[in-house]
Amino acid sequence: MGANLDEQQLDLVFPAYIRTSPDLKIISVGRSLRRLAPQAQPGTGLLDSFRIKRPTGPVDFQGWVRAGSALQLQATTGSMVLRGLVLAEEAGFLLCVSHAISSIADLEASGLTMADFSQADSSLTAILAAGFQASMLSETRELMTALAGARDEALAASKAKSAFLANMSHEIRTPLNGILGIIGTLARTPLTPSQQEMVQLIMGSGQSLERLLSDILDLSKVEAGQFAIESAPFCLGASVRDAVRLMQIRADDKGLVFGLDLAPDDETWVMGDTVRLKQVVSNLVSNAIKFTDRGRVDVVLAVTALESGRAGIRIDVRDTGIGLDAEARERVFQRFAQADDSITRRFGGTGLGLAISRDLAEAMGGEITLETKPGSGSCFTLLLNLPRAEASLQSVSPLDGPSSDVDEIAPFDSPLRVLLVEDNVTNQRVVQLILETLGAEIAVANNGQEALDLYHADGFDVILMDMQMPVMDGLTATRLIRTREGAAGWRRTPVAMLTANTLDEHRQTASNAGADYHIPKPITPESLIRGIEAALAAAGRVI
Amino acid sequence: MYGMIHRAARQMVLNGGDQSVWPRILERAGLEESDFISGQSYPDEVTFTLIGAVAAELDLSLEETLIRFGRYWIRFADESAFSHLMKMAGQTLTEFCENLDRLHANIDLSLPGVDVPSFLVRSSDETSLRITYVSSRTGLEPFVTGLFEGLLAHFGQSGQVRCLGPHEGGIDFLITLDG
Repeated sequence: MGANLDEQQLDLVFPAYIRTSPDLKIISVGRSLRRLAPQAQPGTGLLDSFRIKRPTGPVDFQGWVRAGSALQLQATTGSMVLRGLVLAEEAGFLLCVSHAISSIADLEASGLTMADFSQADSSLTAILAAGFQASMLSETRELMTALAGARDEALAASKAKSAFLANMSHEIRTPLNGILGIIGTLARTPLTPSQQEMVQLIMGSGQSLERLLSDILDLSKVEAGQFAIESAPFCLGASVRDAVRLMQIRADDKGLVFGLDLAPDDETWVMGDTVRLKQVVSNLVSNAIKFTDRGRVDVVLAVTALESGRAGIRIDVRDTGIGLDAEARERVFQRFAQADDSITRRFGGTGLGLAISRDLAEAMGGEITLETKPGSGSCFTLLLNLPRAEASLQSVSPLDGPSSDVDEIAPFDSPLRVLLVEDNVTNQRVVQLILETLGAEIAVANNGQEALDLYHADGFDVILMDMQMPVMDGLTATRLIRTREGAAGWRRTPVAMLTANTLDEHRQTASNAGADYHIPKPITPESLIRGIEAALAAAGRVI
Repeated sequence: MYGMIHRAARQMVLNGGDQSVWPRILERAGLEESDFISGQSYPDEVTFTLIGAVAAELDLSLEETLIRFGRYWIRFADESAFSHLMKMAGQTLTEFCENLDRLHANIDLSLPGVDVPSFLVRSSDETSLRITYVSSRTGLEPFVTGLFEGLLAHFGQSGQVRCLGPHEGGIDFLITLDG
């Protein structure tokens, strides 16, 4: 095999070529090696300047020529590596080799230039591609850092917003407590029919505002990841009945037929969060009534027995209302969104109810599905999978707010001695107005410290304690009262936390401090009385 | 053009010192962060809109902006994915210019769909270089002028760059070296 290229041509095709004699003495080298490997002088031995890395084994150029073996040389000084083939010539051998680049780091130190590579060699393209790869990696890292920063900022903003919502809700709830409490008391006094109507309107508006606040609080809890789902045995039928009780009245007022079908699963008991289940059902039914002008609203409970002692729960809320088209259906579970903007004007509401209901369903491990058709009504279905539970006597849990409304409240059999610890004068007056009509004897403390000053053995039947107060807060005061009782061996006085702090964590903190019950603000005459009764019951006392 | 051109434009503006300019340029050009990915090819209109917005916000003519961008591009490329090849392209201005076309030929192979120009050294001696620039794009002559000025600075040489006009299907440029 022969090669008929002169040295000038070889310089272009293989700038790092090596021509040797049969006994491997260097005859000439390419322009690249003349610059970068000056030790490889004509007349010197090839193996003095280069070590043969491949092929391995004995040096056999004739054999490698026959086999077309790939040749790899390593310079004896420096890091230069050459790769290629060996050809046989009349005068010896021609090593058609090029520079091999194993890493970009090596390239920096190699001193190689473009002229050291043949135009036919694609190594430069590979070097460029490696540069691009490194550059893209660095760019990706930059983007990731920027995205992480943006995410952290968004999370911090969301957290701040949630905290703001919670604080504002608390601030709004306090005066609302005054309005609802006083108006509830006023409603129990003799009034003319027009005065009664006005009182009912104020009460209705206050209650709407209270529901809105609850929605906002729930939303802030969801966004803050503070949505705690409880697990306790409850009766499905009783919970659904409870959830729809007030809704039935609203349906009647609109002239709608209201159907409730709980059989045959009425008495099924499961482990779960009855308060949240009732909230979801109540939201769905409230929506169904709101968007139905004529026809009916039906609530149907169905339970399927599942493996491992679990129950597949399906609660359908079906209406004959306006229904939704495909676009509105996409939006209906989004926060602050309703089917269309005109709905807000026509029907009112914030658009939070369904979003919160979906979040609640998901927090309980379930989901809400929707079947709907414009003009033909909608069916929202709550699907849950909960463990079955044994039937038990339904008891009022300590620190669980009162859940049912009462029409009549009887005066106490004997004067109830109440220590009211509350810094807000309006709220003090609300409680006084409610309890005084029932014959209670009320001592007022403006903060926790004053409460401790007034508190003495068997001095009060119940303590109504606000949580946030100046001088000394309600939690500290409760703890000190419990400590004092323990140290002196006094009988435990029931403490009901009367507060606008309605988050689960607040209830837990109150319980840990020694409170027996939690009465959320805004209060009504009914919720206050039932709360006092429950606090007394929780502490083993009766009025 | 590829997003690295956009990144270079951004860096040039940010290096100018007034950090409030860049958001205004983005707004004027209607661009977002996703328009600055080096390895992504964008329609030429996007790049020209960006350069137009830079000119408007810096209160410069389009020609002056392109010249400045050409000068900056050499600095940017020397710190970018091209840095290794830039170093390998030559130790002197003449050597570099003689390898400029080879550099672009390699870019052509590395970036799919890229439309790079070519550069042919017509003549060179100790005092001047005459180079023909051929591109499918028109109107970028000021950028090429800036690019050669950037190369003069890169190799620590002083001189002038002049666009001589059309020649054999391209545009000829003359680099005259001082001293």
